[in-house]
Parts: sequence; C-alpha cells; structure tokens
Amino acid sequence: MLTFLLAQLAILAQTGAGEMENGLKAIGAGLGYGLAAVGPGVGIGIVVGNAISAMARQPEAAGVARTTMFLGIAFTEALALIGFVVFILLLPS
Amino acid sequence: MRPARIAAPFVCAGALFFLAQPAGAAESIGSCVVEKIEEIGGPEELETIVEAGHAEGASAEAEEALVEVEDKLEKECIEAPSLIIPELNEVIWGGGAFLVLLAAMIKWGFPLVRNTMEARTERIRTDLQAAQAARVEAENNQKQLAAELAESKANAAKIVEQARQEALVLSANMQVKAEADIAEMRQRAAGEIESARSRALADLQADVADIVVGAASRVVERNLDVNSQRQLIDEYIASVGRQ
Amino acid sequence: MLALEFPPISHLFEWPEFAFEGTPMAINKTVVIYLAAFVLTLIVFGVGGSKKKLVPTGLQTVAEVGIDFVENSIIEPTLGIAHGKKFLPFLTAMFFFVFFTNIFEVVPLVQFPANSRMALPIFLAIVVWLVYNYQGFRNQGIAYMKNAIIPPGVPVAILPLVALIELLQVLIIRPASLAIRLWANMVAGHLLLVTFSVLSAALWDSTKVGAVLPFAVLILMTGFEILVSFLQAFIFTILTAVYINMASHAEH
Repeated sequence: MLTFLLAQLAILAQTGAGEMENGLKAIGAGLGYGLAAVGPGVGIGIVVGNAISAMARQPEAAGVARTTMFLGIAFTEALALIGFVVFILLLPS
Repeated sequence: MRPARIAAPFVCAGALFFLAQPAGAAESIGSCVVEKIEEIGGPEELETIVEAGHAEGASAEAEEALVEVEDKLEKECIEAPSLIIPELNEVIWGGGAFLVLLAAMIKWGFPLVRNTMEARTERIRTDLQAAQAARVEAENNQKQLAAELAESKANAAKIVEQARQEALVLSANMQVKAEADIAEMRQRAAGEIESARSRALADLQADVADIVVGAASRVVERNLDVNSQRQLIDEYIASVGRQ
Repeated sequence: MLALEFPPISHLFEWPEFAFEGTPMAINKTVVIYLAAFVLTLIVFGVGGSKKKLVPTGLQTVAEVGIDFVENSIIEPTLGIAHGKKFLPFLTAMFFFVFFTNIFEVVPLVQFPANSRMALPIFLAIVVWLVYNYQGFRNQGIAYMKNAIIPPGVPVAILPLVALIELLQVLIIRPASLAIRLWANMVAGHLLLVTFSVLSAALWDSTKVGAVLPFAVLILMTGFEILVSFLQAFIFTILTAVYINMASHAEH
C-alpha cells in the first residue's frame, strides 16, 4: 500500500510538469522502491520470527533476543532504505 | 477505560495534524505558480509575455523573456535541491547544538542525575545492611530472652523441689519430734504411774506396817494362841480391807 | 477528480528562513526544533537532576529511567556495563537528542521531524565515525586497521575482495547507513502522515463520509510514528554502541 501511495505521490508531485519523462521516472521510482522493499520485508519477517521463537524457548533471555532482533531489523532495513533513497533521488525534481 | 485513555492523545494528535496540514497542503505547486505569476505582474502580463514569445517572428528579447519566465516557474515551484543534501545552516545549528549538549551533559547534567541515583543505591544498601543488623540483634535478644526464661523456669522448678524436700524433711522431723513428745509424755505418764504406784505401795506398806503393828499390838494385848492370833490377824485384815 | 493536490515533496521538508536569511547561520523551523530538543534535554537532566528525592517523581523519573534504559538496554548487551561506563553520558545525550528531534514529528502544531533533514543525521554519523575510529586506534594501536579490514579465517583467494568490502564498511558504509537509516525513516514517516492528512482533508471537503477511513488510518499512523521515533533513536544509539564495541576489540 505504501509503495502504491508513494508512487501516486510521486505522480501527483508531477501534475504541474506533465512530461512523459518525469512520469516514467516517477513510475520507476515507485517500482524501484517497491522491489527494494520485497527482500528486506522477507528478511525482517525471518529475523522477527526467529527472535520470537527464541523468546518463547528461553523467556529468561527475552531481553537479549529483543535487542538483537532490533539490531537485525536495523541492518536488514538498511537495504529497503537504500531503495527509498533511490526513490527520493529519482523523483523528478 | 484504560484503552480509551491511551487512545485519546493519538486522536488529539491526529486531529491537530488534520487541522494543521491543510495549510501545508495549500502550499502546492499550483499555489506556488499563482504566487509567482503575481510576482511577474498578474495573469495578463504572463499572457502577453507568452503570446509575444510564441508569436511568429518574435524578437529575441521576447523569446528570452518567455524562457526566463518558464525557468522561473520551474526552478522556484517545481525544482528543489535534493532532500539528501544537507544544508549548511542546519548542519551548523544542529551540530553545534549537539556538541554543546554533549559537553553540558558530560560536565553537568549527567553527573547530576547519576549522583542522585548512586546516592540512592548507596542509601538503600546501607539501609538494608542496617535492617539486617537490627534483625540479627533482635534475634540475639530473643534468644537471650528465651535462655533467661528457660533458666528462670529451671530455677523455679528447683526451688519448688527444694521446698518439697524441705517440707518432707520438716514433716519427718515433726513426726519424729511428735513421736518423741509422745514417747516422753508416755514416759512421764509411766513415771507418774510408777511413782503413784510406789507411793501407793509405800502408803500400803506404811499401812501394812501400821496394820501389822496394830495387829501385833492386839496380839500382844490379848496374848492369844496361834489360832486366835490368826483369827485376829484375819479379822484385822478384813477390817482393813473393808476400810 | 477530487480536489486532491499534493504539495511538492521539497515543500514538505524545506522551510523558509526567517532570521539571518542567506547566511550560514540562517534559522528556519528545523533549526528551531534542534534548539528545542537541545533545551528539552537540558531541562530533563538539569531539573530532573536538581531534585534529589529518594522516591523520584516527574522529570527526575524521566531522567533516571532514561539513564537506566541507556545503561541496561543499550550498553549492557553491546559494550558491557563495566567497559561502556565512560560512553554512558555520550550515548545518553545522543539518545535524548535524537529522540526529541524525532518526536516533534507528532507534536501538535510542530509536526515536523527535524531528522528528516539530512543535516543532523549526517553530522551525528560523522561524530560516531570519529568516536569509534578513535576508540579503535586507542585500544589496538595501528593494528586496528589491519584487524578491521582483514577478518580472521578468510581464504587468501578472496581476501582482497573481503578486505576492500570491510574497508568500505568501516570508512563509508557504517556512517552512511547510520545517517540514511534515521533520515529515511523520518522522511517516510512524515510523508505517510502528510499523505493521509491531505487525503482525509480532500475527502472531507468533497464527501465528508469518505474522510473517515483515511482519518482513522492517520490516527493509527500517528501512534505508529511515536513508536518509530523512539525506535530510531534507540537503534541509532545501539548501533553506535555496537560500532564502538567492534572497534574496541580485535575479532577472534
């Protein structure tokens, strides 16, 4: 949904210019961000899932598992954020 | 109740965002373009520039003016520096604020809070130790009291036992004494009886002697034969016995 | 079509300067938020620290819980409490400053995360970069560079590639990802909130009923952004601690 919104947003930002090139750029930016979000999405799912099973198996180590989970999310998320940066950079100025 | 209380700030924040943002939304490309057109001199002025620029055989100046207007609109309303490039004034202010904050925190703010926390930790530790000591002391007191209680109980038992023993001894003594008294009394009684008897015997002997003397005198008086003597004596004794 | 006109993205993040215009000391809304975060942090620690009550209340609780949080949740799992003691003021100041600059995203009438400007994240990332490299050279001497770029147990054949990646990692990727993570999260959060509020405003103008759903999502997203503000401050600080820890010891 976010991807769609951001793509739409990029297109909306464009209504004044209305050039083919910029429109394509906007579509590319939206698609690029969407594709960049796929991998990290799966990755964060794996990180959180394993962290939860670790917490369930050893509730006394839940604090450590949670901290490590956030670290893992942060590292994984960086990839999605690079996609986001590309989206921002690609936005037709 | 509780979820409602938690949700309330979110609702307020959302509502305020909702109210505040349309002002930002108004600052759209359209409104920017309108503003710039006003700056140029109104829609009529723009129209004349555009018409002059697009007219066939337009002068170089007119074309230039058109390009200028288009550039102005594009640069100021649509183009913007990339978001990812930091701006110098923000770096200076933000970085300066952070560095000053860091220095202030290291020198002043952090130790202030930290010392309070450590003082509390220290105080709790000493309080706990004091409580522990007090408990140990109370336990010792209790033990001492219990020991004293046991001792006094033992003492009391001993005293009771002693008293019983003494009472026994006393009663034995009294019995002995009583028996002695009884024996003495009995002895005295026996003595008295004896003396009474001996006195009675003495009296009797005296009487017998008198009687004998009397009888003898009678015998002497009458000078009787043996038979009469005997008779006399028997009569006399009989008379004595009748007395 | 709805009267839905989305402002250009640069207009959402760039604010007009209103003092010292054009100079490097120009002040705009972002700068005001930086100063507000600066003052707030000082108030929390100054006022919270000057009340020395046994049972803490108000700001004293905030300051003490903050320090406890940084010590137990950030330093303890990464640097270890004994070793991380000297970084505690630095990390506490950083956590509070980043958190306050983030949380203005949902503060009514301000509604702007100052960290969605690249200035502060990149500056903080450079500070972190200086701190962990200094720590590395101080603890390991010149061997720090060797230990940092040559991980143990790597086959010689791919060593040049690995060493290049590790060098880039230490010199560029770590600070860059640190800055971009914070910045991009805040930009995305702000865009999300603006999108939904513009959408619900436009729908309110045209249909009234249609605004209910985007408005509900807007409220949910406001709550979510509070979480994100906190989490990004936490992640920024804990990654700083992790990088300092990585530089402190050679990998075995």
